[in-house]
Amino acid sequence: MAFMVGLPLLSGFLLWYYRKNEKIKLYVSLASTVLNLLFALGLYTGDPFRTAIHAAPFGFEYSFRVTNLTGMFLVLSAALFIAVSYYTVENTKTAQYGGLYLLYLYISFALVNGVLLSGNLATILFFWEGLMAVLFAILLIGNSENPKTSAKALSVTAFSALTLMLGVLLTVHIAHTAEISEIERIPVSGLGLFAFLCVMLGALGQMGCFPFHSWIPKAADDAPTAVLAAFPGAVNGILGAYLAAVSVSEVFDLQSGSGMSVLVIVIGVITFALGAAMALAQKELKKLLAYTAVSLSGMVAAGFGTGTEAGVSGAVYALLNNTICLCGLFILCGILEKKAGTTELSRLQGILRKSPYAAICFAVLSLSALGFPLLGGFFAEQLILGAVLDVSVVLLIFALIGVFLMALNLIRAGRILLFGEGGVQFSNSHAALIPVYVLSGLALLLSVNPLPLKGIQTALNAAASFAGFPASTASMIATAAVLLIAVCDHIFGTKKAGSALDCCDHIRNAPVIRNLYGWAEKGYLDPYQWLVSLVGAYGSLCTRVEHGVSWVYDKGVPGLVKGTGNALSRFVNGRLSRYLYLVVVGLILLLILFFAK
Amino acid sequence: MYGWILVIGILTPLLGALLLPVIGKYNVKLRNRTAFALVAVSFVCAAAALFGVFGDKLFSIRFALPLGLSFGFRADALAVFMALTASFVSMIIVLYSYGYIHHYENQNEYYMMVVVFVGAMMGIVYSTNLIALYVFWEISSLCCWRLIGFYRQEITIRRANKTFLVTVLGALIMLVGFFGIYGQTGTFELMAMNGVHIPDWTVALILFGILSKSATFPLHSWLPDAGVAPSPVTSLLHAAVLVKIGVFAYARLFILTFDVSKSFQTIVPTIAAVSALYCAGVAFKENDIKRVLAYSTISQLSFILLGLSCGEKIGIVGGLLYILAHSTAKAGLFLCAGIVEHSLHTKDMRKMGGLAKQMPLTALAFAFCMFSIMGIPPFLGFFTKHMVIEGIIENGNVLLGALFILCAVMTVLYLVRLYIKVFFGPLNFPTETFTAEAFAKVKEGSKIMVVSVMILGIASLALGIFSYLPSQLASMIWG
Repeated sequence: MAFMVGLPLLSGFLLWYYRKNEKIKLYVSLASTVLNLLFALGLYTGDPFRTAIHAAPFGFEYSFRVTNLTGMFLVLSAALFIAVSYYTVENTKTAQYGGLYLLYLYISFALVNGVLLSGNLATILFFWEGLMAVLFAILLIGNSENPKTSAKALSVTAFSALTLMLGVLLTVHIAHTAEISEIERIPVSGLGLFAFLCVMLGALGQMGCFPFHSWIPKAADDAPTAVLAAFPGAVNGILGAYLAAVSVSEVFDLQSGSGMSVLVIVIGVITFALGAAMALAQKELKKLLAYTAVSLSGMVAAGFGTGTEAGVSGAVYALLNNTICLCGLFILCGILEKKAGTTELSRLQGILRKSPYAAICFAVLSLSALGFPLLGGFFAEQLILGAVLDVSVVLLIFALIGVFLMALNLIRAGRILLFGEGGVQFSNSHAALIPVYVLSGLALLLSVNPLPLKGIQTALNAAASFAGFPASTASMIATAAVLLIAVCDHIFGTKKAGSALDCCDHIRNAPVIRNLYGWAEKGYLDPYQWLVSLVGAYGSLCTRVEHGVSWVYDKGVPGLVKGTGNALSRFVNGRLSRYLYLVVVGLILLLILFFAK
Repeated sequence: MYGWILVIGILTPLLGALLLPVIGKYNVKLRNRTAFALVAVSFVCAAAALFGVFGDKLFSIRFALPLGLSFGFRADALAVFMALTASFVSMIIVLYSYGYIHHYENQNEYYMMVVVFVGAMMGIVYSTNLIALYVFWEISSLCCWRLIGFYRQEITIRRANKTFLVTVLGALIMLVGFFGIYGQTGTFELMAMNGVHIPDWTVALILFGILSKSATFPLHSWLPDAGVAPSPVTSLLHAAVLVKIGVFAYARLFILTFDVSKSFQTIVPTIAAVSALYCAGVAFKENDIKRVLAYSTISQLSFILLGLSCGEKIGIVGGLLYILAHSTAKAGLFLCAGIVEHSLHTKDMRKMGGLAKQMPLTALAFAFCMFSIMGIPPFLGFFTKHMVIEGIIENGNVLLGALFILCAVMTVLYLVRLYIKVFFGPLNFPTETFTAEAFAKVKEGSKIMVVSVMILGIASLALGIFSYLPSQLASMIWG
């Protein structure tokens, strides 16, 4: 355990210390990430175990465990760390803050390992909340003049993390223990419902689901692509999905089709459709991918929301596929950005001719993320959609709208990037593309070999087996139909607009939808803006009250004292009759008191 | 015999401070070092008293007075915890003052009052007698009055008077409560009243004094106004010591000594929740850097009060650790604000921005302290916030737990806003008064000031990493 957290930390400090020595940086990063992967594999294939470190304050215990599920997530994150780390080292060679960036990146690796290894909910919270500060710091790098994204990211993640804290505390209150393995599954009703809601909001917030998503597209504007590859591409998804998986499979007894189940599916489906819809409007690959990341997290959330073995297995499998694909796509985007100096789709056209291997990788990764038939994402998506169908047909229809929009998106991007004419000239470079090749290979492996799905079902102690073929024929036919419609719409849109770049304009400019896009671009639909406005309005109200309170202290009380003094001084005018009146009144009061007693 | 160590810990700063103006007339450096040494003596005495706490033989001493009266000092776990916290932070503040205060008038009085104040604080924490506690309490109010009015401008004097009047009024009302208790028990000795149930009206009166000292809504108004004082003073009063006197008294009287009605386990957390949410709202709209921090202090003190009043061990230990976490981190924030104010000659955040380039160490120290207040791990603030809210939820009050989570979210929002406005973003200086050239010349504060804030920043982190150690002491307080 100490190794899994300590190694990335130590490596991070070494990388920061040797920030000017490229060779040492490359060796250290490769050695540490490969070792990390080997240890993760060792833990995954070894026997489950639990351990605790008694160095926490009163009421706390740093407890750690390894189960099939944690082992699987550890292996996934370790594999992605290799790709992200290699890309980052390669990509930050001349960057002014490269060392600092690597340090933060490795601290976040350590924190991810910490969360995945945590044996109790309080320990999860410890590592989980630590990540907020790292994200804040990493987004500040190079953005000291424009720190809004980091402030937004910290505010949004803090909101979801503190909601999670409430959920954890309620869970501990109900279960009388924070140890995950000692918790008897809590019914999602009464206080348990509130606890589940808070925990799931924490998990969904980490994944970047609506309404906690808005920092991700903003980061696409300000942060380097490496940040997007590491965080929305890998870290956020892995952590959120892990917590959601633990919640629905170990901590809470979520009944499929219950109110909470439907709520989580609704959040997932909204995120899926909303993210894809926003991606349609993007002209930059980086921002398009950022919205795609948001959108895909919605699909994963919907899977967890079903609460069924098929849905949850599908969600974990989708997470596995999505993180590999997104991480690869972000890295590829970064490489293209470095070569072409831009991520504008119009300037990146025709990479099939300029860099055919990169183009093939893009096709594999994007199609798999989309859930194209017979690729890894397809199996995952079908498991989720089948489980959603079991809950409600209406929800499935909304999910299919998301599939349609996502398909439009990636077909559009794929066509422009692969087959477009013109754009900036750049050369091919295999060394830089190594992580993309590896991730594309992994994505293909997920397609041809259902082994990970079997592993997921074992890890989740699922009774039924879903490996190999979709569970619901109806949802599969519906998906295929939707994909076909998307292709037709793309052809129609391209003809109408005259170019693939604007092929979605007929949707964007449709009545009502046009207004929605307008509001979204102005930030009216950004929940973060709502939060800030709400707090601002509340703050203004408090400030008004505070003026009143200050008036009482500064003017009211002194005025009262002064007024009383003046009145008394006017009253005490030196005449004997006044004093005699006072004596008489005093005597009467004394008599009343005496007789009353 | 060891009880004399406590007397030394109290009297050395109290009486030694009287020498400071004399020394200051002849040798400024010697005066400064003597001031530090006097506070350090208190710290060393408190550290020595730790042996008594862990060795199960508490340091204590008693003095007999005529008419059968007596008073004494005793260093139990709570007293030692508070003494160590207050004297440690005070030492750093005295160090920082070397750089901050050196060009102002009335330095002799400043150092004397700071050191007397620390002595009074030691007196409060070690006292075993209600009247002695009250006397030291009032000494602290006097020092506070002089220190807030340090600049001798009309506004500072008016605000110093306000602070004095509110806190002294609170203390007098509390004194009536003490006499009420005396009327019931016939003694002022705390040890003799262990477990005695006291009537609600006395609790209410004492609570009034406590809330006025720890600036809880609606008795809080003096605290933001006291921001006109020099930064080390605001740090000492707002963060480290003065406002903690109230919460200390709460712990001493209502947790360790008297038995009070269960209804106060609902009343006090409710007052705390209102105070926390209200002041967090005001902090979000303020533009004066020190006023933001002052409102933040009021809001955070409510977390302490919540922990202490929830009636659960985890909450009480959390509340006590919160005192340590908040003292260290908030002192750091105020001192960082002092460095910024010192350099820019303004407290208006709207006229700041991008200072991280000019003051990287101050920005780093500020970030560390800010993370602790926000409750981000591994800083101590994370554990304390968690424990305090766990305490209230364990007590069955989920709604209050949720309200305090909301308050924690607001804490993040207003502190991020402050940090970004001051240290990042574009420059917001009015060009005619503060040009870009002038900004380029802005530098870190003096070495001693930067070292002081770095110590507090690192201490905030280290206390979190090694939270096991202070937690052991805090959990001994409950028994």
